[in-house]
Amino acid sequence: MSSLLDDDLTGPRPPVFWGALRTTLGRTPIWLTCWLAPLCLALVLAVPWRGFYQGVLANRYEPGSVVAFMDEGFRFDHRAELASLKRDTAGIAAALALVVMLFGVFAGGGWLQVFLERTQGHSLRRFLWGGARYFWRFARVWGVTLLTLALFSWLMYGWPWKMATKLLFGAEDGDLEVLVSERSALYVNWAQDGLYGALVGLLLVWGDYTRTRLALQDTRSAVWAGLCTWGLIFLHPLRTLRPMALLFVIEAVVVIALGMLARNADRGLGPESGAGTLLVLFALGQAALLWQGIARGARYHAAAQVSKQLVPPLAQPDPWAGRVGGPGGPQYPIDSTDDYGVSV
Amino acid sequence: MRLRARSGSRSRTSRAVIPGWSAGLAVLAAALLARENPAQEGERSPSRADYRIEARLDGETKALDGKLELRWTNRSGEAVRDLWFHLYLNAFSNNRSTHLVESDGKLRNKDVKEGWGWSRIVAIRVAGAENGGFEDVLPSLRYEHPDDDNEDDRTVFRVELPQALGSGETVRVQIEWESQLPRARRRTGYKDDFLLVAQWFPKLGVYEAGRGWNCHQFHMSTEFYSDYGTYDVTLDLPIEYEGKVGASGFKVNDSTKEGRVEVRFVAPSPADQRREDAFGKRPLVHDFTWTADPRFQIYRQTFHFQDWAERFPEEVAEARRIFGEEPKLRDVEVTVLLHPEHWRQRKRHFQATCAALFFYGLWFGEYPYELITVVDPAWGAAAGGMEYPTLFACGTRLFATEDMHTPEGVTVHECGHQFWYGLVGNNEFEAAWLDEGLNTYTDSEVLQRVYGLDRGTTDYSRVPVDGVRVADLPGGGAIGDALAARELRVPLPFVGDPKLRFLSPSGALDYWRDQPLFTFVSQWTDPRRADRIGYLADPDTDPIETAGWKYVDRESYGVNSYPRTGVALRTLQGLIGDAAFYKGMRHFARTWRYDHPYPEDFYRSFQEGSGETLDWYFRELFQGTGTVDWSIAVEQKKRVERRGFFQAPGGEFLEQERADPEEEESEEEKPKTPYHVEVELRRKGELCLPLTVRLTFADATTRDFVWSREEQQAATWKRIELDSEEKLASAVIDPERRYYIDRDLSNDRWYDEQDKLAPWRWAERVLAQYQHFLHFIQGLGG
Repeated sequence: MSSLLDDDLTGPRPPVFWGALRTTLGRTPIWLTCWLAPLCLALVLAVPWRGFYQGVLANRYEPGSVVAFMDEGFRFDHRAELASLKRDTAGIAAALALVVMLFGVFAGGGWLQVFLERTQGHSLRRFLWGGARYFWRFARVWGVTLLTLALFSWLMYGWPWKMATKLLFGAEDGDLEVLVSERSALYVNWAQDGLYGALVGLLLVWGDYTRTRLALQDTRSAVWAGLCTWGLIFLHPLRTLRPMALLFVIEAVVVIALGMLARNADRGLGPESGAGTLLVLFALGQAALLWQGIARGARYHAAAQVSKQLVPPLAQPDPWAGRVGGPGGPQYPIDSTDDYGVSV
Repeated sequence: MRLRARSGSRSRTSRAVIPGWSAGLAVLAAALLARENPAQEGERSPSRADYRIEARLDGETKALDGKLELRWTNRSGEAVRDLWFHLYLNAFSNNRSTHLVESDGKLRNKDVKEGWGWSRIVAIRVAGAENGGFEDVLPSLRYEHPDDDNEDDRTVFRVELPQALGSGETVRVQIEWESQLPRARRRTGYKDDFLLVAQWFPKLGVYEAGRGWNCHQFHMSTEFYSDYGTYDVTLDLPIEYEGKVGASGFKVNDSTKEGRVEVRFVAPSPADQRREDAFGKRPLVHDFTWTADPRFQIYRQTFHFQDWAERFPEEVAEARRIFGEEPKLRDVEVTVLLHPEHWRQRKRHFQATCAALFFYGLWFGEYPYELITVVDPAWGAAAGGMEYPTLFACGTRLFATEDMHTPEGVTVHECGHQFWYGLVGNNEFEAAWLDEGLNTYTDSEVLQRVYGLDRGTTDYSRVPVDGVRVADLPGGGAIGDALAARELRVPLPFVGDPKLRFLSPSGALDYWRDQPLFTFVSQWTDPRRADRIGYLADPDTDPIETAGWKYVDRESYGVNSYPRTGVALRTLQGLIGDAAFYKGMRHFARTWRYDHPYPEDFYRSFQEGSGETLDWYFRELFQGTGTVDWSIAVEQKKRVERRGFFQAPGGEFLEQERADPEEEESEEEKPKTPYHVEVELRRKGELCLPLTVRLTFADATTRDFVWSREEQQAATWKRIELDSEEKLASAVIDPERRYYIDRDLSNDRWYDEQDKLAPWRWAERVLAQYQHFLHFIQGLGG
C-alpha cells in the first residue's frame, strides 16, 4: 500500500485526478467511515418502514405478490398509514440531513488534514483530528455555500430567469406555453436545468478549493478565502476544473454502470425471488455509495495538489526573529541576563 | 368555489308550451325531410337540426364572422313558441360570466387577463313555411339565465317565434353573427396559428316534451347538448391553412382564391347520409367542430376490422356468443393531424383509435361514419382531451412510451366518446356520467386488453424515468424544509419572495440526488384498478345521478361522472355476468342511438336488454351515496392432543397419558379433521351485494361460500366454521375480482403463510433512497 500513500512530488507525476484516486483508495478507514455515517443515519429511517410493511403485509397478501413491484392500489389502500409514515420519516430525515451536512463539514477537514500533512499511518486518527481542527472554519464555508446556492436558485428560477424568458420569448411569469412547440419548451427547460446544475457543480468545486485554501494557509476568513478561490478558478479554469470534472465523470460512469446492474437485478425480482437477489441489490447500492465516497475524498486530494501549485503561501512572520540560532540550536530569547557566548 | 345550494329539481327552462289542441291547429304544411318519420302531436322522437354555415376567419385578429341557416324540425310532441340558443363563446367574454365566476376567474389555474372571446348576433330571421318569407326576430332577442341569476352571463339567448311551431313542423332560421375566438384555454380558440374551433356558432338548444327548452348556461363543469342533424359548413380561411384543415364530416370541396382558401365539409358525409347503419338507422351528428394549423402533418390509414379480429379472435368469439350475430365492422378512414415534434407517434395514435373503434364497435355497435379525425393540439393550446362528432382532440408528450398509456389512454377515451355522447346523445349538462362514466368503464377495458398495465414514471426535466419513490423526500413544513436545505422562509423585501430557496427542483440535479437506478421501484397499475382509485377520492359526497353544475365541487363532478360510474358499471358486470351486462349495454346503445336518453332511460333500457331486474342496484349505486367495505378475518386452530383426566366407562377418572409423550398418535387416534377454521366476514357501509368467499386448502382444494345480499341486509357479519383435514392456506373475498366497489381491498384476504421477503425488500428501497439523499446533501457541507 505504500505506493498509494506515497505522494512524493519528486518523481514523474500522474495526472492529478488519477493520483488523487490512487491516494484516496489507500485511505480505507476514512472512506469506510464516510460511507458508514450516512448508512447509520439512513438505517434509522428505514427500520420503521420494515416494521410497517411487516405489519401491513402480515397475512393479507399472498407471499411473493408484492415483491416485484407495488401497484397503486396497494399504496392507495394503505394511504392513511403511508401518509403518516412518510410525513414522520421525511421530518426526521430533514433533521438528519442537517446532521449529515455537519458531518460533511467535519469530513472535509479530516480529508484535508490527512492529505496536506501526508499522513503515514493513523490516518483515521488524523482524520478525526483534522475534522475537529477545521470544523468552525468549514462551517462558515458551508453557510456561504448555502447563501450562494440561494443566489443561484434565484437567478435560474426566480425573477431574473422570468425576466429573461419574458424578453426572449414573451413568456409571462416564466410560462413556456407561449412557445411554439413542446420541443422548444423542452430545450428551454433543459437549458435552465443544465445551467443550474452546472452552477451547483461549480459551487461545490469552489467549496472544495475554499476549504483547501483555508487549510493550506491556515487562515480563518471563509469569505476572503471564498473570494480568492473564485479568483483562482477564473484565472486558472483549466487547471482547477479539469481534475474535478474528470473525477466527476469517472464517478458518474461507475455509478451509472452499477445502477444499470442494480436496475436489472430489481427487475429480476419476482414472486419466487429469494434473499440472494435482495442482497445483490443492497450490495450494488452500497458499492456505488462507497465509490462516491472515494470520489469525494479524491476531490480533496486533487484540490490540495492543485492548490499547492497555484495558491501562494501567505507571508508569515519569521518565527526565529526573537531567538538565537535556527532550528536545532539554542533557541531562547536574548536579554540582559544572558551571558552565554557562541564560539564557532 | 362552492356552487350555491340548489333544490333537487331541474333548473328553470322555458315552459312556453301550447296546449295540444291549439298545437294541432297550428300544424303547417311545411316540407319535412323525408328520411325520418315525423312525430305527430303527442308522439315523441328526437327533433332534428340541420345547419348550413358559412364562416370567415380573419387570420390576424382571429375574428370569425358567419352566417347560418338552420332547419329545425320539431318532433317533441308539443308546439313551441320560442327558440333558445347557446352562445358558448360568451363564457370567455369577461370574468363575470358564469363559467369564469365558477372557476374563480381562472382557466387552467391562471388568471385570465387577455385573449377573451365573444359572440354577438347581428341578425336573426325565421320563416315557417318552406316558401315563406323570413321575419326579423332580432328585437325579441333576450339573454336568459336558467341556472342562476347572473345578468352578466350571455351564453344563452331566446327569440320569439312569430307563430307557434307545431309538432312535426319545420322552422328555418337565418342567423348572422360576429365573434372573436378566444385564446385557447378551455378547448376552443386559437394559439398562434393553431385553431381548434368548437362551440363556435349559435347553436339551438334541445326542446323536451314536458320540460321545455333544455338550454343551460355554460358552466365550468358542464359540456354540451344539442339535437341531431346534418351540417354543411364552408370555411373561408387564410391561405396558409390550405390542406391543413380538419373537421367533423367529409371534405367535399377545397378551393383557393385571392390569397384565401375555401373549404367545405358535410357531416355526416354524403355517402353516410345515404346509407343505413348496422342498426338500420341513418347516421346523423349533433355538432360540428373544425381545426387548422399550418404546422399540421397528416397521416392517413384505414381501420380494417379483420386486422383486429385476427389479433383478438377470442373477443370476437365472445361477442358472437353473447349477441348471437356475426361481428363485422366497416372500414373507417382515420386521419391523424399531428404537430411535427409528435410525428413519430403517428402510428400509435392510429392504433389507439383503431382499438377503440374495434372494441366499442364489437360491444356497442358499429361506428357508422366512413371517417374519423384525430387531432394533436398545439403546445399550450389547452384544447386536448375533448370529443366532437367524428373528430376528437387527444394530446401527447415527447418521450412517452406505449406502456405509459400516453397518448393511448386519452386517444381511446376520446375516440370512445364517438359512441357515448356521439351516437347516444345524452344531456351532458344534466347527466354527464351517461357519457363520461360509460366511456370511463369502456376505455379501461380496452386499455387493459390492448395495452396491459400502466407503467408509473417520474419526470426529470420532462423526461420520464421508470419507477417512483417509495418514501417522501426529506422536508415538510417550514422547519423540515429549512433543515433539508430546500428553503428557508425569511422576509426578503428586496427580492419580494419570503423564501430563500437553496436547492431548487431541477431535473439533472434531482436525478443525481435521487439515483433512481438504485432507489426507485416499478409501479404497474391495471386501468380498472385506477378507476377504483379515482372513485375513492370522493366516494360518498354526491350521488352519481347529479346535474353537472350541482355537485358540491369540481372534484365531486370529476369523481362521480367518470370513475365512480365506471366502477359501478364494472361491479354491475360482476354481479350479473358478462353476457347479461353486454346485452344490456348494447341494447341501450342501439335503442338510444341518435337520441337523447336520460338516466331513467338507461336504467330501463339496460334492464330490458340484460333481462335482469336491477332497479335496486341503480337506486343504491347511482342515486345513492352508499359504499361498502368487506373484510375477512380467519382463525385456524389445530386440535390439541388429549390432556387431563377423562372418565372411563367404569366411571372412574383416568389421566390421559402415554408411555412416551413423544409417541405419535396412531391412525385411529388422530382426528380426521384436525383443523378447526373460523372465518368471519364483516361488512361496513350500506351496500349489499352477493359475495363469494373462496377457501383454499394446503392440498390446493377449494371451497366457495356465498354471503348473499339478503344475509348482508339482515346482519353486518357472517361466520363460517368448519373442520378440515387440510390446513387452510388462504381465504379470499371475491376471488375473481368481479367487484371494484370495495373501499379497502387490503382486508379482503387472508393467507396462512406470511411474506418474509417483502418487508425487507421495501425497507431496502427506503434505505437506499435516504442513504443516497444523505450522501448527496452531505456534499453541501464538504
